[in-house]
Amino acid sequence: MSLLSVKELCFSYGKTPFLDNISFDINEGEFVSVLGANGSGKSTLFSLMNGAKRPDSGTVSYKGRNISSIRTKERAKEIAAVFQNTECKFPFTCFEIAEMGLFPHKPRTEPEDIDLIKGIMERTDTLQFADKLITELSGGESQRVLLARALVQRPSLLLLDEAMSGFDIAARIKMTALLKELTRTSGMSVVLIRHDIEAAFMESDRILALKNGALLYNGAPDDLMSEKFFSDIYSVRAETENGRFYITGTD
Amino acid sequence: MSLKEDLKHKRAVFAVFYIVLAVLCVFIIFAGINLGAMKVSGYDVMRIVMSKLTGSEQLRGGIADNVTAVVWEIRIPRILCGMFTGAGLAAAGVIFQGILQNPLADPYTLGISTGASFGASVAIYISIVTGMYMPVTGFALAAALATLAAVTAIAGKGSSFESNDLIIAGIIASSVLSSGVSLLKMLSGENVSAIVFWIMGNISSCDWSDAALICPVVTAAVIIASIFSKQLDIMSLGDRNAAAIGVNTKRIRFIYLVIGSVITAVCVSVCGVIGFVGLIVPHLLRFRLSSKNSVLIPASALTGAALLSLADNVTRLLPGGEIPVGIITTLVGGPFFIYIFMRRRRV
Repeated sequence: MSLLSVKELCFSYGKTPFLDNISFDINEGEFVSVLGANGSGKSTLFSLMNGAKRPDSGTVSYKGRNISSIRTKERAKEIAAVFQNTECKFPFTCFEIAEMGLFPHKPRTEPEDIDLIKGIMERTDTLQFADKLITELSGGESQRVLLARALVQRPSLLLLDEAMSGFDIAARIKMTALLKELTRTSGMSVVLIRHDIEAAFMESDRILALKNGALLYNGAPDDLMSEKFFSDIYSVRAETENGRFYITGTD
Repeated sequence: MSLKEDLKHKRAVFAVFYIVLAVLCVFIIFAGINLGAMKVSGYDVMRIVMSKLTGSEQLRGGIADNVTAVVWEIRIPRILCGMFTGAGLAAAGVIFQGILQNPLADPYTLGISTGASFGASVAIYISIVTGMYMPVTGFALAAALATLAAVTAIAGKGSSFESNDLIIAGIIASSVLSSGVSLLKMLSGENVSAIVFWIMGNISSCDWSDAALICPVVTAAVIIASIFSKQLDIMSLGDRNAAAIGVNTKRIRFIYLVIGSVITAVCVSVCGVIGFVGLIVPHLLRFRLSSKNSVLIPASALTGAALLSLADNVTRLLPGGEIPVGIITTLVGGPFFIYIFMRRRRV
């Protein structure tokens, strides 16, 4: 069943067209990667998907409702987002950061909420940082805490804009496994912007690939793996073999 | 310690902190009332206060009228103004640090205080030139609020009051108004000391009309600021993250901008520019007590109240006559801030 539906979406910055006639659906329980070179429009597309920006034309609808018509707080109960930037200039403890995810649901943390937050921090391997200050953590550790915060929101749709870019390989594999498990068990959908192409092809149910603001590819990883894909999206030459690829040079 | 026990422990620590500060404030009030050439016992102070509050003359039977006048008309309003100004500036410091997402911001970052100084300078200058009495506090308050409107208009034009836009708008407003103050100082000639003295920050001349303005405004502002404190916490993660967690960042920033600016405008209009309270208190408590604004705003207000009224008491004890309290706070606050800043960097 379609959770989020993007139809004929166009967006421009001033008079410069940026996204052109983009349409796709995100289904319940899907794990989708969004690929594209720098400046291809991925982050702008995310801002439109979570209602932070309004399109020039076209629609983004969540469970049949226009995303712009859903109030910020109501939207945050359904859609959570984490960004690459982990700026926090104030010394909040990591538990306090994770606790912020409760905000769309309730104004005050009750004792029973602590078990929920603790459980999510444990599963995201961040409970060890609970009493530490976010300002004392590395970039990757901070990203993990912010991802834990997003899961405390208990979203149906999780948008990650390069939110695992600072993770080490073990942390990324563990976190991806957790997110994929949640897509299966709770029906949560995950959409990730990422530059790790190999991981995207290995882990995703579906890949969306953008080039200069246009959606050029939308399909299962096995169907998209081709030399033409790499040439079209990244302007690089690649050889593909048995579901794997090797970059051999630039176009 | 489990997370639940830790949470309970923290809440107990905060409660003890509030109680200790509240008791300290009461102690400072009584010490302040008794400072000066005229000594009054705590019991007599209580009788005077109860008598004034209830309107019963009998309650202060035996206390001379001049003693009652000194306590009720001079010392109590001065102490209240000092306390609420300290509370207001410290709470405003927390607010401005929060909305500007900058731990080094203070109530004067957006030029509201320079606006008040300009308004006061205009009133003093007109008084000097025409010989007519001008209400300095009224001019200062009006100019401070006009500065807020200008900063809001500049920063809000085509954007959503983003922190950098607000800081730039504040710098512009502050620079222009500083030049205005300098011009008025120059034009005032040998009477320039009146403007200089006002800008130094002084609560010695505060009366009940000042207390009637500061006390309710600061109390209401601190209560309102505490209501939305969770949103202010979340805005520390940056606007995009905050919006994704459900915070209407533009609305919350605007609400806090108005609350912080009104507190600053009222405090500066009445007491002049008192430096460092609004920077040091929030900064110190944020790193020592908690970053959560639900704790930080009331804790800073109480600490600011104790600190400024204590500093005012010190100014009254200094040999050679009183000096403006703004000088003391800056003289002591500046080096102390360097100390905590260096220490935190070492940690």
